[in-house]
Amino acid sequence: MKRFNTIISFIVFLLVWETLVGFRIVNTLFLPPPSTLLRTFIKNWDYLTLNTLITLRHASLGYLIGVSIGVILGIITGWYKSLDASLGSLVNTFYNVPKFTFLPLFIIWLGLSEYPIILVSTLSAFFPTYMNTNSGVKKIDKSFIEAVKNIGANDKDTLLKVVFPGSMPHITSGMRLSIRMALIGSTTSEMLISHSGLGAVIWQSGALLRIDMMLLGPAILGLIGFLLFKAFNCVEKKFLPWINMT
Amino acid sequence: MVIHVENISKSYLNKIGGRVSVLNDVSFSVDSNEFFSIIGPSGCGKTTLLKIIAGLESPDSGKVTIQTKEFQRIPIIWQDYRLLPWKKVSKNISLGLEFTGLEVPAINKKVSEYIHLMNLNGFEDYYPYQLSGGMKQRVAIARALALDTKILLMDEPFGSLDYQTKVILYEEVRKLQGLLDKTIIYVTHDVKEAIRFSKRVLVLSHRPGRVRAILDTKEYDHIFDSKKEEDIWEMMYAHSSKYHKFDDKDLQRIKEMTDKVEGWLTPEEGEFLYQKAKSGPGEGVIVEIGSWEGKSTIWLASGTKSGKKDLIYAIDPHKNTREHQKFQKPCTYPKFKKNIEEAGVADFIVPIIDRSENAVKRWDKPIRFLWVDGGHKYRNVKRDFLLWEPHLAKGGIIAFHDTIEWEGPRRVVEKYIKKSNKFGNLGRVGSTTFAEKLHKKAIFQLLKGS
Repeated sequence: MKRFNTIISFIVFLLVWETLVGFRIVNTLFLPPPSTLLRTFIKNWDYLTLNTLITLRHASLGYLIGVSIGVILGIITGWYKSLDASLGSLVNTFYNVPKFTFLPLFIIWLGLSEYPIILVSTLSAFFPTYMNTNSGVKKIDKSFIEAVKNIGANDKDTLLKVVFPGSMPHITSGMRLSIRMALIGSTTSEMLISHSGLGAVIWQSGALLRIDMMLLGPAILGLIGFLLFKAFNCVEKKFLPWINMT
Repeated sequence: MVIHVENISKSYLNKIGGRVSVLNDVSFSVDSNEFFSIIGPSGCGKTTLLKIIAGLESPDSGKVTIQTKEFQRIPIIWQDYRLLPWKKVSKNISLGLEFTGLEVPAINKKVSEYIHLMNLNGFEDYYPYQLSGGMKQRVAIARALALDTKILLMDEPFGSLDYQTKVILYEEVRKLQGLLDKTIIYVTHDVKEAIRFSKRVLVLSHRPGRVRAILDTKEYDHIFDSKKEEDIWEMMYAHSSKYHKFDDKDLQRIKEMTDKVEGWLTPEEGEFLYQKAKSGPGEGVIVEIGSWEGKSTIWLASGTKSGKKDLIYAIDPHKNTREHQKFQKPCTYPKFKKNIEEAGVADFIVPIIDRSENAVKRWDKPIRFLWVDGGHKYRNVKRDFLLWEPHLAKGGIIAFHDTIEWEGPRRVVEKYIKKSNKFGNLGRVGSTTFAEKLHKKAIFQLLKGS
């Protein structure tokens, strides 16, 4: 029923759009109707797919690196209080800065290549995962730790068998947020310095006044974000069925 | 003698920097293969004592000597199970064995052995969230037994289980103890349970816990009655004035009264409460909040049904509350509703009180008589009700023990009672562990006397 509602509202939205433009209430020059967008997509599907894949490459590389570092660092700083006070607060300071603002610096460091893009995406993906992992470790139920210590766990056992899995609900919610952040990080960077990728497509279409392309870009991004989100939830449900039950 | 506890004292730092003494000079010994019980009121340091014996905490002074051939862990079976939610049943059981560095096949063999022993066959691949409380405790017991230690500590292991499950599990543990040659220290606050099942019972006083007595239960075997139980209660609660608002005279009355108490209040007593409530202002509404299966609502209402028609709202707070989700109890609302309907005592049954102010605002009628009792699991719901709703209770509020141990709601209720209530009574006795019927009767009696 919920899914049905979503689809219906989506169709209604497209129909209203199509009608508004069809009856010339809105100028097609500024807002092409969905049918035109569809036509553009079919015509340029190879070009768009290629660029989507490039964006996905940037985002996923950034995501994988950022999330891995985020989880490891989050657990370490969450577990060792002294490190949290030093390293943790240092990281917290950078949390507030838009990661995109580091792009010029990265260009100077790494050259005008795809590396700055990946690095911005890495940074963007890192923070949500790090913050969530860190707080997940801190919030872990102390009674579990007491219980496993009671039956003979040493510090390493506690960290690996209790703290890490126990903070999994927080870690996955951080990782879920990171998907979004990685996509944002990579597309915004592409807009500025890349010739390929969805961000670049959108930016270049602006220069050419290709409004249809400018609309298609965000639409594809939205769809990809949505699908990745769903996929993530499915994987989580499959492998960590207990997460939403505790 | 396998366990010697000598002059253990322990105190904690509290939030404002003071020291709270929880255990004071506790000494006792436990024989090999003995089933030894420790009873005492809540907060008297029973759990701390167990943790000290298990080596999880160190005492401020005194020492614990364990006489075993080799070094052994002393597993605790906890009241809240403490199963790791991310591990399946079999993995939870094998947890302690994995720490010992045993080989995988040996671990698996042991695990299946204890799964069989605790009747968990077929549940190996379940996650803890898929199990009932009783089953979870079975897993926890299997996890502790699998370590194959001589000594086992149990911290109110069946405290949060229903009566039937409790009895079954208790019997099983007793059987296993004989079978496996275990020395068990069993912490409980159920006097009868302790007396009935152990050879010796250590009675601790209220905080700081001191040894009041070590009873040989043989003496109690033949002549065990409520009088004896009373004695032990007396032992536990004597000189714990901090938690009593009643004076000695009141306590004497409580004692006398409990001698003849059986079960819930009689209809006559319900009638009395009703009359009390009726003299208050407002419409005729009596509300009870937080009835688990509706029993107390039934007796509260029973007095009002003698020919008079009044509105009785019975509220079940367990549905859709965060508390409810937290404890993952199956919703009791259907059972509650059935009981109330069968008894025919309520005109309205209200299923949901959630924690928001808006939700409770639907009470537009003044309540004559609001009954709020303990019920430790759902106290937050009740606390919220007290916080939002006291103005509605025009007639009177009776709030009990742990509900009003929270500074906030207590102050609200006290203020309200001072301001406008003519006969509101704020009873505050002991803690949840003190038998509930005692509270109800005691406060009822005091109300009657005043």
